[in-house]
Amino acid sequence: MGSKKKNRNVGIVGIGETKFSSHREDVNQPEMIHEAVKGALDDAGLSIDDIDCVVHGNMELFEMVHQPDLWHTLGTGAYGKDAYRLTTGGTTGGTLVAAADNLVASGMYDTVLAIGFEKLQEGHTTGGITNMADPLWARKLQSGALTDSAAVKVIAEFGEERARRAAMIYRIIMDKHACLNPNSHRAFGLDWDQMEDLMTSSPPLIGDLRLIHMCSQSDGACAMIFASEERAWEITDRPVWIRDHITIHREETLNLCVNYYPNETTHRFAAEKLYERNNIKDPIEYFDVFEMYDPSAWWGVDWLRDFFLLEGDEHLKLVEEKEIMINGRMPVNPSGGVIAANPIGATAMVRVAEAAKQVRGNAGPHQIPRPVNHAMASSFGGTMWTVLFMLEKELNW
Amino acid sequence: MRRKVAVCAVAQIKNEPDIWYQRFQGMLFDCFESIVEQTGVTFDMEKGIRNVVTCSDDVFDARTISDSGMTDVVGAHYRGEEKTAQDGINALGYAMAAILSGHDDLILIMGHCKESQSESRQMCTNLAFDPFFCRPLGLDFLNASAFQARAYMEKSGVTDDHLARIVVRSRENGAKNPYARKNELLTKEAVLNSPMLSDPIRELHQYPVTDWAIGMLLSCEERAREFTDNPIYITGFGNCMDSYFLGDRDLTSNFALKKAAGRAFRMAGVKDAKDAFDIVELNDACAYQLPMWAEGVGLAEEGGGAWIDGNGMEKHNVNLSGGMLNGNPIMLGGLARTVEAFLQLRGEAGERQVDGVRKALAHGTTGPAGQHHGVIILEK
Amino acid sequence: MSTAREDCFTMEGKLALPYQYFAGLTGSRFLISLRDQKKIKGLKCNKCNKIFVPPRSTCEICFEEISGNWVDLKNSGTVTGFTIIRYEEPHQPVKPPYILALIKLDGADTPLTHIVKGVPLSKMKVGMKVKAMFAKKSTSSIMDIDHFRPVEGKPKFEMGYTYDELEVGMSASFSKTISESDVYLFAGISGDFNPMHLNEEFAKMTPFGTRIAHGALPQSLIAPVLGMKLPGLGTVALEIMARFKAPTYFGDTITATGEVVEKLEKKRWVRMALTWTNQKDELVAEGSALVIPPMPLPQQAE
Repeated sequence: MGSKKKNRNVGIVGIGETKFSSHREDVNQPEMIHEAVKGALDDAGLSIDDIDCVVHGNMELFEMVHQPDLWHTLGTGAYGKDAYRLTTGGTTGGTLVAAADNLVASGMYDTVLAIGFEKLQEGHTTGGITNMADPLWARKLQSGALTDSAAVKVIAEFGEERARRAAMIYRIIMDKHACLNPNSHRAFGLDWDQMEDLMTSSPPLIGDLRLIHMCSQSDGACAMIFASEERAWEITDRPVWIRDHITIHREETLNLCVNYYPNETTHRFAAEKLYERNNIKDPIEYFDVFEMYDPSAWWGVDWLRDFFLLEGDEHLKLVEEKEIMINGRMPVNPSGGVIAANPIGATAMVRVAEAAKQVRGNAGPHQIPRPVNHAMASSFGGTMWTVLFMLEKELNW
Repeated sequence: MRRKVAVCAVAQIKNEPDIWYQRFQGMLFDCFESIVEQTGVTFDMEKGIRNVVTCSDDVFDARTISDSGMTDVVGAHYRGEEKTAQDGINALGYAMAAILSGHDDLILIMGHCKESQSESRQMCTNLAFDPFFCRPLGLDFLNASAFQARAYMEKSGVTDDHLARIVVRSRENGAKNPYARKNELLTKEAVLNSPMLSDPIRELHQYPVTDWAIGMLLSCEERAREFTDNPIYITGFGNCMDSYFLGDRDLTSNFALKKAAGRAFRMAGVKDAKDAFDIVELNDACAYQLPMWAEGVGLAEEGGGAWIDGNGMEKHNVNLSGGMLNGNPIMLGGLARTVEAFLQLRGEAGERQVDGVRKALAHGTTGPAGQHHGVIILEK
Repeated sequence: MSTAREDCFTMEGKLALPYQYFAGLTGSRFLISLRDQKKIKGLKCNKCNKIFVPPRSTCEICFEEISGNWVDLKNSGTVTGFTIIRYEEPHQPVKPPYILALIKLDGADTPLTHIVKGVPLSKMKVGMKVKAMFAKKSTSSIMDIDHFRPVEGKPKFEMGYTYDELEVGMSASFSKTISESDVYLFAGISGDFNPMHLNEEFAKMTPFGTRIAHGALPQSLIAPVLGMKLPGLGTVALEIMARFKAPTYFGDTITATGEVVEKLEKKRWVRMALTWTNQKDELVAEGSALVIPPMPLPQQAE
């Protein structure tokens, strides 16, 4: 497919994350961002003077700050530097990584700092998301980001019993991962013997979507530093390379595109195109880790099929056989994923950051216990958008 | 080797005070259809547009993640879409990077803003200030500009009379631009007597509330001629952020603009702004900003007042479009400036056309009193 | 355009969501010091050798952590820039026209934005020395500083606004709670011992059902406004007209307000609109006044 060779290679050279939490009364927005920025600079062994350009993103209406990068300059370090702001809903963090990759690869900047953040405690998240709906046709019907559509779909295909068990196995795996990750917002210590109980006792939200399945509302920020190949080797002896990224959106407002495409999710479409142009034949065989933007356990289960281009019940088996656990055949979200922490504007960047840490081999207690050379990270946003990344340990393409 | 990207086509609707007959989706779709018609560009996954860079603002759209409301009307159905939430000049800078990176051959830029939708522009921009130390005092982009205007006029010798001349000229130029907001022509006296909004900014010194949408097709250099016989090239871009608190800044220093321009000039190999450009488009949301930004990009080293008296605005062909002052919505000023540069370089500027335009500068600002500036250089 | 306006619906909408912003430890310390000690504090960056206000925990320029480097600033400073806000919007803290200024506090290197009062709009200038006036009631916000006002050149008597300083739209008020003893004293002053003001049993038979104050009593509360506030000392009242709209009962708090509505250029007189309202915001009376504003005094001329 048409993507030419990159103008130059881009490496991830610094990663900073705040602890994710339901509340951060001790810091204001720029101060919270600064924690992540400082973390990324320290990780890379750089000072703010080494940065050429700062890319910033979140959702304005979640905190109701218009063009927040202006105020946040106090914490981002953008003063005197080139600065961009991009926002694409849940995919924002992914878009920021894609943008930083483009900005460095273009040759316009050698070292770019990207920052995703959200302080959801300061606003009203479900109200904010509801304001996404079309004010004329849909706003009065929308219920934030809560939907049981994935549950309905999985249940219809595999039956209530198997579907509910798979969703709960997925959920407990994610919690076990979250318990290993010191930055997690929610880590309950769930265990297998609680499965039956959780499937019936967790408060239902919509249909078969229960509170335990759903992601949190978190405060937190993530910052990453990207550098050109030449610069990357000066900064670190283990840069993680961004091999490729693809963004696929879908959002019908005027129904112009009815029947134009087959009924296929943007996740599967993005994965197909990305694998095709990078010549990946068997993604489960190829990738050593996948950090997925999984807003609920139901979506997590369902989307495994799309991202890995699986057929039938292969994705359910991956879950049921616990192959997606940190020590399994295809580890998914060793960080605990989005159910463990969801500061929306940062969430998608955290996926890339966590995947990159796994490739570096220094993720900490949640490091996958075997070499990680090839990583994939996904972003999800809007009602159905995807940004998908391939990261590599070696320049192998 | 200097690297550049091509602007292959521009499509716009007319700037209007209140487009009550169309939603922003419709405004964008008009531009979208025009781009496709002008260029024959497709959305083929191999050869067509795979990524759309949009420019809009959630607060002015009163909509969370407002790009969700336009994905399909800008051609991003099962394609990429990335929204820049700053002045649109930065959408161009980013699109340039996306193409030079090798990741995309083509980028469609789609920008919109309906200022008329909000109860008040100032109420929206008040929300750009921190909720603790600035927002409670009623700071907004208008009164922030007023602090800068007073300090700048004091320093540069720009007078109320100069400002009146700038406004009168903007309206005259705007009247020659079929896509410009239709405004009354003004006399100098009318401007001098217009009521003070926020001293020293008078009502007629500020750009009027405007709705607009714009589309642009950018391509890599090698493929430009697939879409047009007359490509215009972006050869330089730079932007820069200044301090947040107004009190932390030297409001008259043009700190961010000088840096942004410097970066764009280095990229395009421009040595001296004074003789480099045939056309200059500056984002003058308020009248005082025209001479101030002219100093910032290096056109008026003698100081804004003397530069105006020396006929600098005509000598450097500044804002023949009418400028932001004649009416473009917030977020889109820099794209409107680029459109004029594009049309002039193509020889399609109609009554405003300057002979033999080969190189142009366009500029955009984001934030209070020009906290963030972007500068772009276009060449034939 | 062939589309008709009436064919195009406009839907009113509002983004009314709750927000709560956290000032953080550093911002909170600044606000606590304002609230509890009426002290404005700055933060010093030792690397840049600059003392910043408003507070921030890192230096924006060099990125050093500065949140521990508190410095006491004076509550006075110098105006380095200002604007007079004359457009009215819901997000403004006070009714325009008002002065918003950049104020470099003594001891700080960067100015703070705040409101300046107590100076005629036409007399406002850069370089003016001002001091912080604290709000009577704390809101634990930057508005604990209610405003700044000029410190120097205070004459023995602060004369009112001259004709040139007065602008249409300027307003001032005076409030007072009307008690039984006020009414009794007013009866003595005026000789009006009408039992409807003084005798509850009689008053029960009137349409009001209880005692009410003399009409002229609340009306007189406009005198301190005109004579001592707006235009202020030195004012000569030529005419005061009032129409009574509602009775004043004992215990009512009456606010008399005067607003400049017209400047009579020829005579250099000023016409003011008057209103009297009670604690329920009911209009007690309305009217108008014609006044000669104070002449500039020789010792105050600049």
